[in-house]
Amino acid sequence: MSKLSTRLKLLLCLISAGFCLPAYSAPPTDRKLQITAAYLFNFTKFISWNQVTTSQSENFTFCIVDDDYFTETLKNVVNNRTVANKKTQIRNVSETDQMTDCNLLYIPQHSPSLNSFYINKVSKLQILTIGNSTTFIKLGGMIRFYTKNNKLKFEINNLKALDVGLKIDSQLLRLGKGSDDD
Amino acid sequence: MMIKSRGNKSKLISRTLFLSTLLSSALSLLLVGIVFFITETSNSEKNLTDRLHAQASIIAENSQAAVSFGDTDAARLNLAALRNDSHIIFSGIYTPNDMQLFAYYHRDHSIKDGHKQWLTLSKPSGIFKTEDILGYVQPINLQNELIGYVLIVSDTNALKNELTTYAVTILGVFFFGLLFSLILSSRMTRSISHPISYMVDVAEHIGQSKDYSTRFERHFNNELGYLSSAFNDMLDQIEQQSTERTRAEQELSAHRDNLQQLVLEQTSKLRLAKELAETSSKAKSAFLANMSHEIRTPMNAIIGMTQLTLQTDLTAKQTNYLSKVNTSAKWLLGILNDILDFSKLEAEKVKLEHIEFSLQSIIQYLTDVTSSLLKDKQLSLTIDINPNLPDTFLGDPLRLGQVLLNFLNNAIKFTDKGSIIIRVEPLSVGTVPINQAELRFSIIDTGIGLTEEQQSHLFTAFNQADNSTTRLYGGTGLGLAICKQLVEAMKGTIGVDSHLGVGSSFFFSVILDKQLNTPSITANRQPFISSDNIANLNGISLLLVDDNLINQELVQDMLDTKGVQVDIANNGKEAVAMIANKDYSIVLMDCLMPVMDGYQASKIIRSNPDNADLPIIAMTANVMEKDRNRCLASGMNDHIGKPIEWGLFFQTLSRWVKKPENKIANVTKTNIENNENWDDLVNQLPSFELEAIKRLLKGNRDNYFKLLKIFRQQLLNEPSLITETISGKNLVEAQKMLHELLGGAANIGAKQVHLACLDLQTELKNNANYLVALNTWHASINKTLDELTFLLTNNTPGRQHLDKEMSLQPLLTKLRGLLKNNQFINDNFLDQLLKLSSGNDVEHYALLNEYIINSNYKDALSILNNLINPEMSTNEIIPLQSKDATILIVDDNRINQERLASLLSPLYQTKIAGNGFRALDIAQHSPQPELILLDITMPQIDGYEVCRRLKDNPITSDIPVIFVTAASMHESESLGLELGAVDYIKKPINPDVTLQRIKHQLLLKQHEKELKQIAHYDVLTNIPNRALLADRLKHTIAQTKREHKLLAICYLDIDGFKSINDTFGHKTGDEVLIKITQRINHILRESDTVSRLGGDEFIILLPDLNSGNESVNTLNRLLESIAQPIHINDQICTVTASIGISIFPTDSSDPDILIQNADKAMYIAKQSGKNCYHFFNEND
Repeated sequence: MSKLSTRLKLLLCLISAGFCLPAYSAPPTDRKLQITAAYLFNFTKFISWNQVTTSQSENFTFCIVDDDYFTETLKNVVNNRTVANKKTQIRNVSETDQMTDCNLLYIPQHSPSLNSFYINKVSKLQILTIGNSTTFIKLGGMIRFYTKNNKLKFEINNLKALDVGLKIDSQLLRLGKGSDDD
Repeated sequence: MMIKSRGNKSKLISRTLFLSTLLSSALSLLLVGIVFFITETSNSEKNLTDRLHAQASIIAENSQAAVSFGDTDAARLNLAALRNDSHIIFSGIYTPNDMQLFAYYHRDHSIKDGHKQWLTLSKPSGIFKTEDILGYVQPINLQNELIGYVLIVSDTNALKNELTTYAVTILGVFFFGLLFSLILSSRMTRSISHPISYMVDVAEHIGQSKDYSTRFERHFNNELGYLSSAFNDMLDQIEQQSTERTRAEQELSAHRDNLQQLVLEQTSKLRLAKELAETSSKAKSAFLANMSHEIRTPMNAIIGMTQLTLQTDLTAKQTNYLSKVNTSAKWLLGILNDILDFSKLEAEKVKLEHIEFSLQSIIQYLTDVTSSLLKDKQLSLTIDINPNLPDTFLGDPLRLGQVLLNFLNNAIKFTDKGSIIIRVEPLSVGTVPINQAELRFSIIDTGIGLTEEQQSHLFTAFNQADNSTTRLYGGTGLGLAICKQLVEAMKGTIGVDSHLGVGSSFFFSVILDKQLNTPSITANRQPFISSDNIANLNGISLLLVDDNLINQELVQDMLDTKGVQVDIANNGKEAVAMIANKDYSIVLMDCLMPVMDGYQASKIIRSNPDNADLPIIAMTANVMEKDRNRCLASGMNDHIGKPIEWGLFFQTLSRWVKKPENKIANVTKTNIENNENWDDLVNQLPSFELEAIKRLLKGNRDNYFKLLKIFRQQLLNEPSLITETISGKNLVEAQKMLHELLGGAANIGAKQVHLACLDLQTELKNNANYLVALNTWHASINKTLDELTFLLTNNTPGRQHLDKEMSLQPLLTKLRGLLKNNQFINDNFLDQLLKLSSGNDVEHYALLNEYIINSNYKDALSILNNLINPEMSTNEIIPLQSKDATILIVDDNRINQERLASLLSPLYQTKIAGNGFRALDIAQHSPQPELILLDITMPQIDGYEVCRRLKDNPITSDIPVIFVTAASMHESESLGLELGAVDYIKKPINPDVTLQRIKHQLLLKQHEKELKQIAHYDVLTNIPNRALLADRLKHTIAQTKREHKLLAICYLDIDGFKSINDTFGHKTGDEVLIKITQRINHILRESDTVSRLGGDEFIILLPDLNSGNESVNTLNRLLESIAQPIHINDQICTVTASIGISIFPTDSSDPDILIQNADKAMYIAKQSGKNCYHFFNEND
């Protein structure tokens, strides 16, 4: 028996590993990422970037910080749809990248220092900053995701958005009024 | 002023007005209500829909973010705002693909579960509806992307409630409004209907009471006020006209009553005048005749005796004196003749003869008469007759001779020396027909001549050339005046051409008819033209018939000198006897004698065929036309006037004296003497005198039969023509025809026919009462005809039976015709019938005979029908020509029937009835008799009863009845008149009086009829007028009641007639009425009546209907016909008619009400648009 059970365990491990291995195999929170991506895209429907609408640039760029997987997910969700009649571009950025062409910056990481770095980096640009960190808003971010009752919710700091000239629809503001404290 | 209710019709206008206002307002309100309701319904639904749509849109818009970010709370919050709308029962947001409910709102908990089904009702978007709810689905789009659906559902209950409230409100308004308008309209109509009602009442009152003094008293301030014042004006006029009319009607009826009286008076006056005139005329003629006779007789004696004396031995002195006496006597005679002639011409108009004469014989006569005068004066006389002229003409030889003699006498008188020429020449001046010739007679002398002055007065009466000539030459001066009258009567011209001292030519020209046919041979009428040979008289035997002793002596002595042997008879009777015993060469017959006069004697003598060629010369003082003709008609050959002119006398004698070898001209001399036995013929032809003809034909029967056949044909055709001519009062023509007929009869030995024709001819000349003679003549003709018929059909013994049968059938057929027509069957006919009946049927014929004699025509006809063989029967000719009137003779005695029938049948159509019942029957059936002669004593019912019944029966009550009876008591006469008879004739009847009375009654009847016509018939259209209509209507109603049928009374009014009168004039209007009447008459049946009420109104009665609808066809045809255009004098006008009909007894039994109803119905027809008819209906 020991030879069979060992082989079974190995098989199970292999199978599970197989499940784990594919490059882009979904973790158990894949659904959540999809929703997050959908949210990100939907945000663009309720926010107006006057620079985007008036500028010569052809694209609307989603920038994702250090998360290839999410970047792919976002690409799938957006699926070549337009934002404000501009072609969408989604790219993954890291610390050293230029972010002047970004219109939306999403920071999936929770680390406050990381969040702070990126927030400060783009604070002068008209870029919508979205993050997950609990101190995102305090750090100067504009939209913070949080989960309540197993639902993905978000909090919006309209002042910060206004500072860089972003107009956010009242409907959205209403949705983003709450916080996980409520 | 009474106001009575007249039923529903009176409220018609007000009701109409009221209803119309009410109805119109009701309809408007209803319409408005309905329109608003419908508008409101659709509007409210649309509103709801719009609202839902708006709400859904807003929700969708505001829920974009919530749906995008799955924020159900936010979404729910959005939806919860719908709570404000109480109607919304549910709202939900759905995910787009799987339709999951994302968030919802519901008003109350119960409805939530229905959301799924609502969604299915309406995919993908838009309105949907069920009975309770109305919903809307709106898609939620975010930047062209469908992210979800919003559904809002509202209930409709509240909506429905709202609508219901709305409807109720509207209904309320409707009814309220209706009520209001009800009140208002009734108020208004009353203001109109009351005045109208008032006016109708007044008008009706006037119409019924005919009190034209009533007026409309209330006045109204509107058009009705105008109307009432106009009515008042009309009533004024009507009142006036009505009084005038009543007065006119009264006058008319008074006049009508008078008229009959006037007619009677007039008739009797006329009758008196006529009788007076006739009497005076007769008196004059009688006087003249008398005078003529009285004067001439002594004159004759004077002259004759003088002449005789002159022939005796006398001294010179005696001779001288007597010659002077003779001359004076002759002169006196001449004067008397002239005077009498002239008076005669004055008293009775000249009736010219139209007989054959020979020109030569007249000239001969002239020369004979004047020969001695000429010799005395030593004047030569030349006769110059144009050789191209025929000798025979038709005219009046006596008158021609008279004129010529007068001329000649004058010429001789006024010529002392020289010559006289008598010239006759034809004139070809002018056009005369081929059968006539215009002749000019002239007497030319070399006498003293006449001045112009004298010539101009020559032909006037009482004028001599001058008085000196009278003394020198004598004369009354009447002669030429007489000649002028005579010539002018002959339609000729008379004249004179003279030169004083040279001579004169007196002439006249006349147109005479030429004799074209070869003259028929009459029995020795024409005198033989022979030269005068007085010597021939020697030794002849002469019979002198005269009652006057002087005349006897005179003539005898005169004749003795010539060697004539004279026998004397004192009267006609003796003469007849003497002639029978002795053969005389000639007879001198005076006409007026006692016992038997010359005419009678001559007739009797002539009736013996042996005496056919015995010359009888009449001697008479009467030289008037009719007397001369009478002589000739009696069978005398010639005529000598008294006083006797001896030269002429001997001429005449020698002309006529029977020479021993005289034979009748045109006898075919055959040497074969046929001694066939003619005895059976003698038996079968009793009305024939066969001896002479037998001798003539030398006993050849076959020849005779051939002649008889021809003669029979004549007898069949001629008499009716002659009778017709006589009824046509053309007596001259009739006499000519009789002349021809009697010639033929004489030729063939038909003695009876011959004599009958002579008699009739004579009577026709008398003119006054030839009717009796006409009947006798008819009888003779018929008797002879029957004999001939019988003979000719039975001339071979072998064929006798078949011939009998052959001739029987037509007879039977004729009998049937006569019986059916109720004619009198005479004895002759019956005898023939019995003769022809053969062995088997003899009993039947005897029975038939008996029935006919007893006037039982019914049974006679039934037997007759068995006897008639249909194959052999001929057409039933009723041989009488049409006459004016039919007279019914009622008498049970056959002889009386015959008498009356034969008296009346020349002038009238007669029917006979043997008893009262038959008479009543005949009187009722068409053709009805115009007069009934009623015997009183009859079996079963007497004449009084018959008269009573005739008068009781309206069909026969108008026929005048004359009682004819032998009863002599006065009371029966008055009873008869009481019963209604118009006259009473006692037996034995006086034919003339009877005829006059009958004529008179018929004339009266005729007048009465005409009067009735005038009173009862409309002058213009000749149909019954109002007066007759009332009568007719009553009768027709009574008849309809009896027959249990229906009668339609139609009131027909011509539409637009007034405009015709206005446009075309009244004359055209009258023509239109006449034409319309014709059209109406054309369509109506025999039993229908149309009458004219006046103006353009007619009343038509259509009886004998089973239902009112039966008349519809007639009504339509009437309307159609009247509506046809009318052509009058190049104008075309059109009218139509409106007809109102009321039915008896359905609508009423009272004739006045029926007419009224028809009038009302007609009025409605007019209102309905004219040119239509309308049956009277109580409800109208």
